[in-house]
Amino acid sequence: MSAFKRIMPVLGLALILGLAPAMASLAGARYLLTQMTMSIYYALATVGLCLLMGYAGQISMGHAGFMAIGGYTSSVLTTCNLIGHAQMPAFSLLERSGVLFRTVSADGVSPAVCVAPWAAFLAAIILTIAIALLIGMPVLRLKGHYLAMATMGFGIIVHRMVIGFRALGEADGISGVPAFPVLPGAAISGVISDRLSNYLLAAAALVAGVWLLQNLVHSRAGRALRAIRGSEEAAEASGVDTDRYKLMTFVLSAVFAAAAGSFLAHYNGGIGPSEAGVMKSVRAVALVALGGMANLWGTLFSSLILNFLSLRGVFQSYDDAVFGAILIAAMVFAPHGRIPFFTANAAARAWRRLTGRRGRGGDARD
Amino acid sequence: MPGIDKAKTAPILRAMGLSRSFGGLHALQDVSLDVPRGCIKGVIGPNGAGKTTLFNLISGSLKPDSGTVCFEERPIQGMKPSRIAAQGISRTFQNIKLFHGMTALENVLVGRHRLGRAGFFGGMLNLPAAGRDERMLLDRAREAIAFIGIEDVAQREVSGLSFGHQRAVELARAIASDPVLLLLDEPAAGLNMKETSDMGALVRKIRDRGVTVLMVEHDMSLVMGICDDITVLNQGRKIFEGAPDAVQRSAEVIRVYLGEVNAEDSQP
Ligand SMILES: Nc1ncnc2c1ncn2[C@@H]1O[C@H](COP(=O)(O)OP(=O)(O)OP(=O)(O)O)[C@@H](O)[C@H]1O
Ligand SMILES: [Mg+2]
Repeated sequence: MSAFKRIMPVLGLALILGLAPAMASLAGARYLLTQMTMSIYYALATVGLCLLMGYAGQISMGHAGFMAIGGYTSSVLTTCNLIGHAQMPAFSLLERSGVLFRTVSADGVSPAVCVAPWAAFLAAIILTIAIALLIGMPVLRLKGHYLAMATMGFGIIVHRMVIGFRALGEADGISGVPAFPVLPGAAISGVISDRLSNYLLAAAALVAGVWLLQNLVHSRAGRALRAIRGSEEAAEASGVDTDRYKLMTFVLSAVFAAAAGSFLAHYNGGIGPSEAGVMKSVRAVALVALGGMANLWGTLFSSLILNFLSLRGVFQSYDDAVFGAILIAAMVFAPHGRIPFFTANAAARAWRRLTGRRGRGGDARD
Repeated sequence: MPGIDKAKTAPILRAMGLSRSFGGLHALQDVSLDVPRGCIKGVIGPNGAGKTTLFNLISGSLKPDSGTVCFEERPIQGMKPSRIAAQGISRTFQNIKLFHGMTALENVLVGRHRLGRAGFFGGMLNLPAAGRDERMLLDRAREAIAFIGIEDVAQREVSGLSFGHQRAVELARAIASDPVLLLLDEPAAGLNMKETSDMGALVRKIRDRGVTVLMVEHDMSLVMGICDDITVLNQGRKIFEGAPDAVQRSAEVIRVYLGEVNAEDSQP
């Protein structure tokens, strides 16, 4: 695919996301920006899973675990008070290099020293890579149900840990997470007056993430991933180091989730154990399935729309049930991801049928 | 120069004492085999003789219980299949294994994977080097497709292709990696007579490009027609090895494999 054809959908996405707040304003519904921003961060995590599950064909039922690792690492490091360690030799060095910063603790008076958000973010990504490598190496040898169960086990462990550990806030989670200045004059934070700039930051992060993944799936490495999904044995026989590719993809998808989790924690000013819940992982899987599996754009839009509706409370107390039902429907009607809606192929086919024309090299399936 | 002579005459692949069992079943027992450079070597034998198992041991899909495989005089047994492929051994599968959901061209591009350079990050950032690499892969994949003669289905998704086309795509994928040794597991299975003879011509053409071929095949006319040398397996053991006419004359082979059909044919 030419570079031009490849950048077009990404620009289209930027345009849609860029226009959305204007439309919300016109409709007098600027308050929607909050949920729109949050659903963008969830979508960022979901497209990462799409690469792993849709393209490489490796299911993960523990994706929320990585999102939580990102969110909790950022939250803990940016809120823990290190002032008691001020005597340590490295302390002043870290403070001068900006890794640590002085602030006030929750009571509003006593001085505190915390890890700067950028350093906490870096730590979150490094920790995520380490854990993903550690988990991925043994579990990616498994296939199908076994892989699903092993990754779900990982998700459950993360969930129990965030509930069980004092330092992770137990059932209350962590609050008071500070703003994350990412650009001069723009910080990820829950400040109401910065709602628009926060939305735009999230949108920019998503566009960048999708651009990277879009390039990847059209590259030699992306083709190798799709080959693994088609036939692992034949991919290996074609010289694709399937173990390595699967592991790289697992790590990359975990990094997407962790980055999204970290940003979301700064945006919400905190994080709670429900972010790590197994249902959050199931939800991500359902969205990839609904999006059409090996379909970055389908996953992206199904994730943006359904997460938004869910955050708006449209599904009321049936929230989890809705995502469960979506997963069942996707598995029953399109187990291999050939879902009739959302896919460009289907649109092209419908168009041909309507106009009675057959395109060159048309879909051979029907 | 003796050194060059030796390299010319040394077998490209040498399997020695290969054994592999599944549970109590001895699928392959103490099989040795030399594949001379530049030839088409056939492997025949009744169902369950261990032919595919032999291929799996050579290509690394299975590990041998004992025995060695040397390719270009270097041991390769125990390596991952992708590493073995990287040395220049490619294969097709008895029950075609294509990458469904991808076009014929994309399938062939994966076949060329080992000769590409662009990695994960080059691809993600769409670096210029990755773009050049991709164009090179594309050119060579198109060449492989033209060589096999399937340009007309290059852009079609493979699961919608006819059986014959699927076999052809698999073959194109296998030769796209510029292999030194090509393993073909029943390339004519399921093909009609015309397609079978086309396949025979194609295999010859591949050999003429300098690729050594090791081929499992049940179609006797094809095997006898194009193979320079044939190994006969039965119940996991090698029972005969020789030129096609010697195989046809061998009483042992006729008894266990060619059976009554050829016994009747050879009646005056
Ligand atoms: N992965 C496996 N697990 C268990 N048994 C196997 C496996 N692969 C092969 N076998 C058994 O080993 C024996 C040899 O099988 P193999 O596939 O090598 O035969 P073949 O000569 O290729 O036969 P065919 O002509 O039917 O393809 C058979 O009895 C088969 O059932
Ligand atoms: Mg076989």
